[in-house]
Amino acid sequence: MDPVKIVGIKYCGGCNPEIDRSRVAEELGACLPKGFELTPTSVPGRWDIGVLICGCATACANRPELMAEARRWIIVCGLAVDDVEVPGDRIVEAIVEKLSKIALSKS
Amino acid sequence: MPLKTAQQYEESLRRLKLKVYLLGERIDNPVDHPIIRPSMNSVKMTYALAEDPLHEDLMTAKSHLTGKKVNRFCHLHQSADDLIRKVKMQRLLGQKTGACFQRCVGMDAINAVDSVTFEMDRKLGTDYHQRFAKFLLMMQEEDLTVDGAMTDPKGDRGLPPCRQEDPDMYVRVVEKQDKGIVVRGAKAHQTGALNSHWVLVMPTIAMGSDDADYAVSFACPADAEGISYIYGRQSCDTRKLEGGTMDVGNARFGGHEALMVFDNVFVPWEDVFMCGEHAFSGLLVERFAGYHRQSYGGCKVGVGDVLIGAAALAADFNGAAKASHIKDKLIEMTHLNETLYACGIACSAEGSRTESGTYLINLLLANVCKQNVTRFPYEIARLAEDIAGGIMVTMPSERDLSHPEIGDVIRKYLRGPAGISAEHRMRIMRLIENITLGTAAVGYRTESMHGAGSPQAQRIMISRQGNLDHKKQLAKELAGIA
Repeated sequence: MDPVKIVGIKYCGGCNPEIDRSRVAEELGACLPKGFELTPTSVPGRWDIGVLICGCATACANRPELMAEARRWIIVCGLAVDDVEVPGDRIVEAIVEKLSKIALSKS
Repeated sequence: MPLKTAQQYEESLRRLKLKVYLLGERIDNPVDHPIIRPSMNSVKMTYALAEDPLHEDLMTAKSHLTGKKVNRFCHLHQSADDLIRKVKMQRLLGQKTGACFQRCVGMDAINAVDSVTFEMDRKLGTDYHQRFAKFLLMMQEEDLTVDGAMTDPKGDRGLPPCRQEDPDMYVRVVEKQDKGIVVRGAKAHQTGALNSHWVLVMPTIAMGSDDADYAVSFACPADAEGISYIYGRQSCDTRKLEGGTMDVGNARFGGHEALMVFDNVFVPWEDVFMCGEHAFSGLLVERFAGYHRQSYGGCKVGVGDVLIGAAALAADFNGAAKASHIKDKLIEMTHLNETLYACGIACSAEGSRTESGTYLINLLLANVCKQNVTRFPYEIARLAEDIAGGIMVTMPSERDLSHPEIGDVIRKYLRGPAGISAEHRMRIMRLIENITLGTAAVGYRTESMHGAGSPQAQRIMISRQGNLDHKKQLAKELAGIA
């Protein structure tokens, strides 16, 4: 049985968000695929997967030093997930899809 | 971890023994005074957001002194990215408070004093930078709010400090002792003074050798013996004494300024960062002003965001949102506001490293930023008043709305489109009133004009930094002039 993968959430500073970042996190927490566990800490470190939730396309929190804090990252930049545009109501679905693919690729 | 919680910040203020006067009375408890408290709440927000995972990325930074996570207001900019983050943080705080959150002046002061003391020591062999580094370490470790104090009363502006009829028109050293100096004078327009733990004093103009006693920079506790504060009045300030939440427009947040008086205040040498080195006073003023002119490209934009949102809601509540001229006015407000932001970001992105390692903004662009700030908020405010309509200043009071006889009359005649209550309509009108001509107008309008230097000060800097010779050469080459 594969060990549970720790998912951490990191936010940008939120100076001009186009999306409700906390809602994305809440909804993700409610529909996380099996085999993943959301860590309550926002301090990155030893995360299997980091979800960076940035409010706009600038994604100013996407910095090299942060990227080193998790093995893989899924990056939300306003209305895009990993650079692919997504409607606002499908952001969480897109993240879950990516997590599921990660789970499959490891099994 | 050197981060105070919001509650710890408030408690720390209660321990200060400030000598405060407001409306002709000595105030023993500024923290809970209804006129002052909203301004404390604004500074408190700089602590609260630093604890919030949704905002900590902008609100905190890694100290170059200790490697620890510190509040960005206690941080020296280590890169152009830090400068950009500062502007974004200020926009965020303007959005969250709709007011001046006061902590920027100290941040801008430490960044200016750092590089100037470093360069002064290199040229003169003094040890000011080492002293300043100790102060900065304490500020970071204790997460202090520091009041940056620059503007002197100035008396006759046609005369230098040493030729004023009253020698106290600029803060000066009146005595040098073995263990420190004694200073006297006053600093005007001190933003957030009563919400600060320490004061960082700087000279206010470039000075000559005759003014050496006035070329002084130092830090001291806000409640040091000999310091007193006289609170500045704001338009509509006594509405805060009425006990309601509607007529004040913004019941939770505000800003403040005070006249800070130094009556023979002793400052130990370890907290003195300039004492007589008049040739460096101009550089310190220039750098502090530059940082503070950058700041306005963030904080005023955040308040502008609130005002634009309020104007759009007023249009909704008036049933006028679909009118093309209303839409166009909101576009114009956004255009002006984002132009200010663009200037704040631009002067940050083009920032450069100083000798001490601290990054300095592009001074030309920072001055262009502030010059625009002296104009655009006025136009944004005018458009907000246009959209709001005259009811903003003619409607009845909150007490009338809750009156058993006339309350229903007001609810009947001031209601908006279906589903919009009179109370909600009145609340949004009061918020616009607060920012455009109430207590918050001090920060959004007149401070935009004169804060960080009046418009002419920026024009002088733009003239100096404009690189006109290069522009002439470009023209000559294209015109075929050898």
